[in-house]
Amino acid sequence: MKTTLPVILTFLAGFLMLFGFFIPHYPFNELQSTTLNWGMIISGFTMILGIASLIIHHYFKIARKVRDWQFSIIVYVSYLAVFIVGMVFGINNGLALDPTPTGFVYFYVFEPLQATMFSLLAFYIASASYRAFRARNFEATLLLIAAIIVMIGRVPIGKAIWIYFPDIANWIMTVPNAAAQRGIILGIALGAISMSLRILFGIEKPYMGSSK
Amino acid sequence: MQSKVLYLPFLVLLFFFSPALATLPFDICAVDNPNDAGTTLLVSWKCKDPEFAKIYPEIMIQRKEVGYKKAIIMGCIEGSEQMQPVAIVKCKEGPARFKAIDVGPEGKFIVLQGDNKTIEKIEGNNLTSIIEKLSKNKDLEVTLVNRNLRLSQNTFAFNDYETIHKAPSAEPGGKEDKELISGRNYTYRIIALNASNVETVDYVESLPAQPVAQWFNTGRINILVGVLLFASLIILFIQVAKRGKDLYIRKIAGLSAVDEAIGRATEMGKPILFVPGISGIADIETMASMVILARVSNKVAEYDTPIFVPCCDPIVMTTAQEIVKEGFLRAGRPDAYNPDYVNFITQDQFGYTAGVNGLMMRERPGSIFLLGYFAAESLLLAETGHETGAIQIAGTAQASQLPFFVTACDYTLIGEEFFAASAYLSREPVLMGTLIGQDMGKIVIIGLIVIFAILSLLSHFGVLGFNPSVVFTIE
Amino acid sequence: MDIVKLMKIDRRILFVFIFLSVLIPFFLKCNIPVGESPETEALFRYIDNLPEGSIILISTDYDMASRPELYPMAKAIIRHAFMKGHKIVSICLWPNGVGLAENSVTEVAAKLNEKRPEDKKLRHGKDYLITGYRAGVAIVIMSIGDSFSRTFGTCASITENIDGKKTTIPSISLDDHHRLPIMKNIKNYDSFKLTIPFAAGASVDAWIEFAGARYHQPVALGVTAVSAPRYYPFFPNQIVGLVGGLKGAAEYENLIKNPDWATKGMDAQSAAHILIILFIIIGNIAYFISIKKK
Repeated sequence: MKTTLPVILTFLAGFLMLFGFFIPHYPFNELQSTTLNWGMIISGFTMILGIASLIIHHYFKIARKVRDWQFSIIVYVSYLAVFIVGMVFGINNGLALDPTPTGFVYFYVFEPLQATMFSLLAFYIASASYRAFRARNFEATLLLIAAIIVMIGRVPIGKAIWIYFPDIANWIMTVPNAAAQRGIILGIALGAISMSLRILFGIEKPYMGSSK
Repeated sequence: MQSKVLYLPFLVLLFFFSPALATLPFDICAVDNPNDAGTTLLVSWKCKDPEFAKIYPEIMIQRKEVGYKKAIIMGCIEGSEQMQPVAIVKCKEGPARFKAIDVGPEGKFIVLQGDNKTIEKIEGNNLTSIIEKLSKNKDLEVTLVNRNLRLSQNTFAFNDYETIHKAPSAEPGGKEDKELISGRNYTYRIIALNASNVETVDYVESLPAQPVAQWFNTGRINILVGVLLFASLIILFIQVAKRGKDLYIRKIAGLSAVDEAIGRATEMGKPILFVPGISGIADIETMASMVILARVSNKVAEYDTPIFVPCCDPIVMTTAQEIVKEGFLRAGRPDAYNPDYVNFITQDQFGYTAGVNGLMMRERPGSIFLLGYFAAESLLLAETGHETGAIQIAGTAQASQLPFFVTACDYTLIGEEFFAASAYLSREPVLMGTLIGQDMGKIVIIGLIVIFAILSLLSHFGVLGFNPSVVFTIE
Repeated sequence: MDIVKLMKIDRRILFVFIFLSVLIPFFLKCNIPVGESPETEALFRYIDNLPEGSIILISTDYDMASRPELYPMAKAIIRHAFMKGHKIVSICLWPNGVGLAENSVTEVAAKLNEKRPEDKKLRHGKDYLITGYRAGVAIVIMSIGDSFSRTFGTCASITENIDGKKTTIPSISLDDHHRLPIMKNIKNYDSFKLTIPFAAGASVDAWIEFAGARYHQPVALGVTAVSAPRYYPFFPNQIVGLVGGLKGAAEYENLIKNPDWATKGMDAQSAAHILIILFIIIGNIAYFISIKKK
């Protein structure tokens, strides 16, 4: 029963959604949006699970004084600080010209932190390409040449060096790249459909904590 | 656009059999939209006299619900006198005939009158309570349009016809009229406007049409055929595999390396880090990730290797907890499971990335699995992982992130390889069958691409009289 | 120095070079001409050819992390639309993008208003509308197909610079056509001549699938450079234009002849690209020498 019921539920829910796609008649036409709405409401409540996990996890770290437990205090302090500012001052109106304390946190704490994480990408791309782009064999050499042409062609200096660089780079993006992307997307879509069918038929049950 | 073209023959037939009540030189007809939930009608019109169109360059298309009268309670916003609809009240025509809705002096009450008697009289100027009381009358249908207005004096509008569209009169046109009620009858009429926007007194009206809900959307028959074909191929090959036929799957290096990666971390006495991506459990990639986590957690339980699964989504966290716990249970070592293995970090993309990168640098795992949905954080995670010297296996269906994983990880599962994990790792005939069925589906698609590419070329050069891509049009 | 050692160079040295290559061009101002790609130009022509007064729907589906790439792009396109007399409706599908959705439109409007007479000034509710955030991404995109006003209900409360004074305009019901005259002509996708999501995530697919395929709405994309290659297969049949990354933004600024932050960033991007190419070449030389030595 413990395993049969979820499989039956999955099967029924999955097929009802599938029917909803083909049957425009009520109630099938509204199944998808209703289910999505339920999903949104449930996911709101699951945040409680997440926050509880976060708080308990760090509580034990501090209580047991495990390695680097000091970081857990930072988690608590920053969590409470943002929470209190949000609760006391609310979400402000007119963020653009007149930020309130919540807007201040948004613009002067949240924004630089996010931008910092994202901008690390520039550095990591440099180190990864330095390490990985080696002309080891024919395919790797081809990839290397294509990468260099696209990199040059996609910046203004490329045109200044040779007028045809942007055109060649654009051709690489719109012809070979688009063709390969289409192939990969088709393969991925088929793989996803096949996986969905396995889950629908109960051949695979990852949602139950088991692959079999 | 294509779908409307398909209805044209219906409309032409309807013109033929149902001449409208013509006083203006127009044909107008309304038909049910064949593939909907019974809430739309297709209205089309055509001017028969080009000279008339020159004098009256614009037309209005108006709709009436047959057998119903409609009144609109009007209101306005504080400080303004511009009227807007507050609520729409509809009443059946018949014995209790619906005459009018009126707002009394100073907006203190609303009176709804029937034939020589009052149907409803509601006092007060609280809009919400008035609407609530009106809604309780079973003879009425009340739709609230805007509760943010206040009622004002003498502000009811009463109409049979409402304008739904304006168009130039010279050109034939069509309109999909939405949000109608299934099973009711509607008529449409055309009124012409001259250059000074003066309406004609005459009009031309269509025959009544009824929106009917359908039980099958014929515009999606191509998808149904595709789904059935694909599903039957998969079921067929599951049966073939069950009969014991040896099915071949090419070597997938990334999946073959899963056990090696776990073994290496164990030998080094280091933990394993499993990152399930940043999406929710409804995402098929997260599902695929959970399948591999089941396999990995079983192995780590056998080897007694710590595993960390930081999650970006609370539901994924709960699922991952169950999977890891069961892995330890199946390995016969439930006591070795540590609740700290699976925890939630944050739902914020880069906050999560920072958290996982911190974990990598502190714990220095022996093996890292990056499996699931990843976006811009893919390289941030993979490069930091590389810095720790761990063996890295990545897999995602996000085509734009694959180059980053290929560059920074030891093994990358590209798209469908990632979804093939369960079959590949378990070698169970049923799962293997689904993989072979999937490949057969791909062969069918390749065949279709070739055939339709040729047909499109023929169509392009005028050899074929139609556009073959119509077959793939989805409504 | 043994060149083979270069293969195992400390990556922090590379980081210093990258940092300098991004920083220095900001002070040098080389101003290399930007040029334009066919995908960006397609969008420019599309907006240029729309009849005056067309309403364009833009969606802010990104947050601070992608701001450097997508914000200049959004500003350039909004500026172009306003210059051509079009109207803008700005929605937001990412909770952390609310401020960006508002700023991108109000900043451009404020800048253009400086040179306009009082009666031609761009105003919220008349020439543009900011709705704020709605949760549900795909559900919101589908829901606009039925009714825009029911999907969003009210506009966002925003701060406008009116006569040199910061004036906070409260949240207004979208049904209030008196104070939001722009809403008179907005019902659903049929009311918009073009939809442009500025997106850093997966919402782009939903825009193409639902707004584009299902509701036959012309869709153009403003996406990050990382995700742009993924959307090339959709151009020009499923999308009318594609502006990718800071380069795309600079191209657009160039097309509207208003060089701004994206154009300034191009010198830095050029330098960084050249530097990475140099790294790759040095890495390969070291690699071949190490093979020969073996």
